Amino acid sequence: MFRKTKGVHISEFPEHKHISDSKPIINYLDPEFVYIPLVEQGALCEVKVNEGAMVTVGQVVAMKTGRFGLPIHSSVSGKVVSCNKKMWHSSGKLVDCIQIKNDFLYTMSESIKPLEDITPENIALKAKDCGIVGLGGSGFPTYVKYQVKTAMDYVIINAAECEPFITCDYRLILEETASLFSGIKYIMTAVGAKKGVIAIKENKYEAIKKISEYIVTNKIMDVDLFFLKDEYPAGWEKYIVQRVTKKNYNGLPSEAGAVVNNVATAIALAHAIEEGMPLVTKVVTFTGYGLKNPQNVRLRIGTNVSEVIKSLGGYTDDKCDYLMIAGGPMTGQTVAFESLVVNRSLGSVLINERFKVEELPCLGCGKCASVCPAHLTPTQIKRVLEAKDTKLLETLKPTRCVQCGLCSYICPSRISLTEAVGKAKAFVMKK
Amino acid sequence: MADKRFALSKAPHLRKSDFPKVYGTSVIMRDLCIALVPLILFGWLKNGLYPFIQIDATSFYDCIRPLMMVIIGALSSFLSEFVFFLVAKKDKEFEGLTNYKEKFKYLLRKAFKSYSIIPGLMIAMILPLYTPIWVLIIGCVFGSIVGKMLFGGFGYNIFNPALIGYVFVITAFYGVITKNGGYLNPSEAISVTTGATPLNDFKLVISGAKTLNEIFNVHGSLLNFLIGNTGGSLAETSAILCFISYLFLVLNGVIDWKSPLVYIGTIFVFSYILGAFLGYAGTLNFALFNVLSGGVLFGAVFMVTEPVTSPRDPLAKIFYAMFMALITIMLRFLTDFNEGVATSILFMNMFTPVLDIKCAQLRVQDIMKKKVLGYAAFSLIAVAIVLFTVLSLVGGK
Ligand code: SF4
Ligand code: SF4
Repeated sequence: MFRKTKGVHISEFPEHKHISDSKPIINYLDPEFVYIPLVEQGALCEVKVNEGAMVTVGQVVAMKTGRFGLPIHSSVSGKVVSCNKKMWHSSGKLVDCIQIKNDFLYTMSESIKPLEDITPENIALKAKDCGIVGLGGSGFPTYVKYQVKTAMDYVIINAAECEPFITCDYRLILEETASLFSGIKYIMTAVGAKKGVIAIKENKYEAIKKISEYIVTNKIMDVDLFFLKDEYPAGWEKYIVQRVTKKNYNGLPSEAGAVVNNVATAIALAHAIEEGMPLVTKVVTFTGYGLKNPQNVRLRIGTNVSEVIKSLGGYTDDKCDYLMIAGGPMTGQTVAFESLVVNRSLGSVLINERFKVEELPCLGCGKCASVCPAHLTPTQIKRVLEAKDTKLLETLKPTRCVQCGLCSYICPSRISLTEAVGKAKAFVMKK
Repeated sequence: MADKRFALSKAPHLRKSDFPKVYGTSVIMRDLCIALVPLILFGWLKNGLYPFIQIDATSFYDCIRPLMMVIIGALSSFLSEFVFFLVAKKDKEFEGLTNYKEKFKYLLRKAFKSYSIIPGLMIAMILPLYTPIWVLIIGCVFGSIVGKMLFGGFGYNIFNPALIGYVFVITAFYGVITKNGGYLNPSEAISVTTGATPLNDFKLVISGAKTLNEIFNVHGSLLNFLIGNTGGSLAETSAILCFISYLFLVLNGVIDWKSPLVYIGTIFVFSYILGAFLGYAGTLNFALFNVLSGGVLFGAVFMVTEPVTSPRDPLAKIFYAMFMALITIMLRFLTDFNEGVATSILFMNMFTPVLDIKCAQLRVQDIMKKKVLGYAAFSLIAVAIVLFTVLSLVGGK
């Protein structure tokens, strides 16, 4: 027996998905320049091209070295203008980018060809060559997940999309159902699983309908739907795996016999195997009440976000004090300038009003402790951290925090608990 | 192309408190005050208006007296914090203000922001009706200053300020209060010949001097208790209204629904068992009487759950309520002391930090053995209290 992680259904939790979920994905695939960021998951990448060189779509322009190495591809064809153009990255920092001028010909690299011999090893290799990473926000190289020692029981597709505002996975399910299913097939082959599970929140009626229809018409036997409650954080890997497999794990989901990929990743894998297409385009949700026209947009990696915002009609109110958030509202990172580049793990861009409300002393209501999905007590952790009592801090296990943001969300005194627990986590880990 | 600038902030960027008019600490405190209103009105109805209509002897002053007590209580707490901020807690912002009007406004806002009226309101509600006004004021000032501000103000106090003030005046000025008229309102003073509150009489039942039926004859049926038409403090006697307040507070997310139930449940079960020792085995009346008298319900709804001084951890909240109930029972059955509820709450307030940290550790514990040991340690304390009470009670007979 193990203690399940908790989810909280907050009845008035604003999902704000309606502002973008009914509009089909539009394309914005012809930027004049792309800026390929040279940072992946915080690690620097090695540049493989020179300034002035001509590149093709899908050509490797940089390489992420180290343990989880990964190639980085050009998303357009054209001329490399600069190899150290500074642009804003979704981590909130200024990073070096390879700037490429688009020649609008989209000459394909000859390395792009479908995978013919479909074996587990080849699938993992292809995923690596095509630079497939977790598109749910982590950016973790997907091929690593496929290198399992024993066969897995389940392949779980994480379609929860539990963060408010974001709708890109939802739209992808509706528009690319077939690719999603072939993606699942390939992942199942890659890890030797007999069963595929699409874990989706029970209130996404349209997507559920679409998937069940697909299953019925194509007589698919080995893929099932799994309904998650309308809770936050239902998209947390551990939350899903515990509920689907009824098993607990400490390190990786493979301990419980499951591999988890998100919807966009599975679809990207399908494209990589069937067309040989590296990860050069992706769907990003542009949303928030600060945008005139919230929309899901298919973009090339390296597109400048400010161009997209302009093409979508700009801001609702140019004078308003907005926040620009790379990622979801609960876990995303604010970016200081509009010239943000689309990298592989960027799932959404959110423009919302900034609320300035004063912080009050802790009232002691205990709401933060009762919502924490990892059963932590954030207010105690904050207090002990301020008292610098390292021993005591360790017993409160701040390392289990997943930075879901619920404690800060719920606190009536508006205390930044998530930040404090994050600090405590770093503090304990450093020791 | 000009690069648009944005502000920075830390995740999460979506918070329930984004709309402080709808959700936030101020709203919680406001709801707490709203929940008190029906009880205050009932207190006025029962202790002011009803005697005024029934008996010609009462003056108009007696009629509005309950309301006046409450208002004066709230005001004196507010003023004492105002003065405290003026004298002791000047900060930079205050020094920066130049003219008196601004300074005044600033202090007003501060006193308001620390939710200063609540202790005063509560003290007035739980004191006997005929507490002299000056005693009430002393209680409120004492509660606010000593119980709250000296600990660092709102959010930092260890003890419930209202109870600090209450216990202080009820012990220091008990003689004065009884001489002035004590608990009973004018109409009760005529009908209840003994001049005792239900709780006083209940103590006699425990010691065997009276039977339960005798006191029911004096104080009326259980229905009377449910409505609250019995002698007692100014505005805490009505069980039904306490329950309505409880529902209101739970539905508005102000308090946790469990702790009041645990508190009342423990008292009920335990009183039943002790009642059985005293020869009331077949009837629930004994236990019901115990729960319905002496401010147990009011305490359960407003004091056990008082956010600042009760534990934060969900598990700790339950243990806190349980231990508190056991101590209340102990004080009720083993001593002549009348303030069982208030004292047990203040006593448990001291243990809030310890309980909090222990339960926080317990909740993240993976090792089953340690977890079980933790629970066992807590349960042992409870069992020890229970055994002690039973043995002393049986031994005393
Ligand atoms: S951010 Fe961390 S501490 Fe806060 S609720 Fe989420 S997991 Fe718990
Ligand atoms: S939610 Fe905020 S006010 Fe409530 S206990 Fe936690 S930190 Fe304190």
